[in-house]
Amino acid sequence: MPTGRRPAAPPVGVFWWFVAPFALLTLVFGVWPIVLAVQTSFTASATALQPNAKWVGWANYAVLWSDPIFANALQRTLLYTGLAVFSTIVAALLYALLLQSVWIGRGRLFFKVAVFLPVVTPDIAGYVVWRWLYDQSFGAINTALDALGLPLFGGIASTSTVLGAVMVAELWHHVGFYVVIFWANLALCDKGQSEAAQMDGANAWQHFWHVLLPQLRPALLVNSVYALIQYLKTFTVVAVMTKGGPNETTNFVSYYAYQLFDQGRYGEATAMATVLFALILLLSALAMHFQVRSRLP
Amino acid sequence: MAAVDLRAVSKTYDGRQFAVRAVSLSVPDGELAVFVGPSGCGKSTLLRMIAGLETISQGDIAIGDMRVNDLPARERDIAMVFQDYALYPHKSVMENMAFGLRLRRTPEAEIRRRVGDAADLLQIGPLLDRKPAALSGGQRQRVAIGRAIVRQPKVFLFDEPLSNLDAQLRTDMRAEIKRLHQRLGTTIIYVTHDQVEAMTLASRIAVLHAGQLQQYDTPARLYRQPGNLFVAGFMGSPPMNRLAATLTPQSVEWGGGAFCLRPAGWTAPWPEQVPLVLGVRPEHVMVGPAPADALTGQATVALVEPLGAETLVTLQVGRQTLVCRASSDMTVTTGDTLTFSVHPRHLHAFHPDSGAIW
Repeated sequence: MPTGRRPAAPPVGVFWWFVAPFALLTLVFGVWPIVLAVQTSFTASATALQPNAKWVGWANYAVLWSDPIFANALQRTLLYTGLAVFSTIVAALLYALLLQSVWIGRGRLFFKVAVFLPVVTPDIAGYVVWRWLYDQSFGAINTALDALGLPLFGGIASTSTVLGAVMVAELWHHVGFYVVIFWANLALCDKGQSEAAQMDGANAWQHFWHVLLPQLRPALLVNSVYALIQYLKTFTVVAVMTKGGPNETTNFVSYYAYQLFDQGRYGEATAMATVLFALILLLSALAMHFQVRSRLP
Repeated sequence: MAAVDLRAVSKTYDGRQFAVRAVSLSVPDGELAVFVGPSGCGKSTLLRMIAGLETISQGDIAIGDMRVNDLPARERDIAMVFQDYALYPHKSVMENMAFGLRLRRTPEAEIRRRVGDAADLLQIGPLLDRKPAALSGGQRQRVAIGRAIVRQPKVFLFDEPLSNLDAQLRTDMRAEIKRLHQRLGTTIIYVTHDQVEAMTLASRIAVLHAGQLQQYDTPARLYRQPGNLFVAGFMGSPPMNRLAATLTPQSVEWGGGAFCLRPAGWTAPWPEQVPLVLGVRPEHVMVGPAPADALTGQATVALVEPLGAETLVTLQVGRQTLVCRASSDMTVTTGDTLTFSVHPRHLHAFHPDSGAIW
C-alpha cells in the first residue's frame, strides 16, 4: 500500500480540456479573422467579399506603396508611437516612484485610485469628455485660461497642438496600467541594495540610476513592448476626438485603413492592416530581443 | 579612523515599545566591538542607527568628535557589510567595489589601485570581471568586504556577515576578518548572534537582551565575571549551569533540599532562607577526587556526550541538572553515581528575580 506519497498527477490530457474552450475562441475570433484579412489583402476590392474573390497578387500593396497619404500616415504613426511610448514609460515610472515614496503618506490610496480609475473607464466615455475639455468655445480648459487672461490652447483644433492633446488624453487613460506593472516591480526590488548604495554614498538620483533602474528591467520590457503595440494600433482616440484631423495630422495607419474599408476599398484596407500587423510583430520582436539580451549577466 | 560613542541611545517605533532602550557605550578608536544577543535583542537596530539607516529616537551617536544623529548615511563616512551581501547584481566585481569611489569622483588610477589592493588582500583578483551571480557565497562575502575596505572609511559595520556561510567557511572567514582588522587597524562594529564569533573576534563585547545593554566588557571579563544571569547563560557553550538554591545560615542548599553543599568555613552573614541562583561553568564542575576546600556532592549521570577532545556529562542532582565538562578519557556511563566538586571561588551568585549578580 503506498503511504506518504502524493496522489498521482492527472494525465496531461486533462489540461488540454481546460485550455480548449479559450483556445477555440482565440482561433475563431482572433486567428481566423487575421488569416481572412491577409487573404483579402491579395484580392481585388470589388470582389473581396464574394465567394470567388479575384486574386490580384501584390497589387494592393503596390497601390499602398505609391500612396502618399499612406506614407504620411505611417510616418505619423511611428512618430506618435515613439513619443507616446517614451512619455508613457516616463510618466508611469515617475508615478510608480511617487506611489512608493514615503512623503505621500496617507494620500497613497487616493493616488492609487486616481491613476487606475481611468483604466477601467470605457475609452469612448473618457475621450468624449476630453473632446469637451479641449473644445474651443465652451471647453473647461480654455474657459479657465480665458478667466486667467492667458492665451487660449489650440487643443485638438490646431495642427500644432493636436498630437500632444491626443497623447495627453491617451496617457490619462492608459498610464495606470503601466504604473501597476512598475509598482509591482518596485515592490520586488532588493532593499539591501538600496541600503548598500546609501552606505556607498549614492544620492537619490544615483540610487535610482545605478540601483533601481537595473532592477526594473522586467517591467520596462513588458511595459515598452505592450505600449509599442498599443500605440501603433491607436484608433479609438482618433475616431472619437479628431476623425484624423485637423488637416490629416492625426490620420494614423489604423484610422486610414478604417476609412478605406468604409469606402469599400477592402483590398487596400486589409493590405494596410497586414503591413501594420507585420510592423508590430517586427518591432515587438526587436524590443524583446534587445532587452532580453541586455538582461543577461 | 574614529571612536564611536553611544549616549543613552533608544529606538522606538510607537513611543511605547522600545527596540533599543538607553544604550550607552563607547568603542575606542581602532577596536573591534561585537554586539551580541539573541534574535530581536536590538543589536541590528543599534548598528543600523549608527549606519544612518534608522533614525535615532532618543540619545546621541557620535563618530569621532562629531554628533551624527542628523547626518544622512552617505555623509557619515562609514562602510557596511550586509548579511546577504547586497551586491549590485548587474555590476561586475570590479564595479561593485569601485562604486563608492566613483560616486566620490575618485581619479580612475586611484580607483584601480585601491580595488587592486583590496582584491589582493582578499584574494579575489581573478574574479574582478565576474558578475556576483557567478560567485560562490564565500566569494560574494569577500567582495562585500572588499567594497567596504576600498572606501577607507572611519568605521566598518558588519551585520551578521557570516551567517549565510557554511560552518567551515564561517570559521575561515572569521579568522580572516580578525587578521584584516589587525592589518587595517580601523574601528569595527560587528553584530552577531553567535557567541563563539563574538568571543573570538572582539576586543570588547556588548551583550544585548530585549533592547537593553546587559554588559559591555572584554571577552575574558564577560566570561569570568558575567554581570547578570542573562550574560552568564548566553556566553559560553555549553552555558553556565544555573541552579536555584537557598542560602541558610549554615549552608547553601539546592535541589529542593535533596542535596546540600556545605561550604567549609563559609560563615553566614545573611538572614535565614535567602533564595538565590548559583552559577558555575561546566569546566569548573570536577568529577573525581575533590580538593580539600571544594564543595562536594553526589550525583547520578543522566547523559554522556563525547565531543572528542572532551566529554560533556550531564549530572542529575536532586531535581536539578548540572553539566560538567570532563576529560575525554574519563569513563562514565548513564546511571552511574559519582562524587563531584566545585571550588567556592568558581561559584557565581545571582538574585533570582532581577538576575543581577549578588
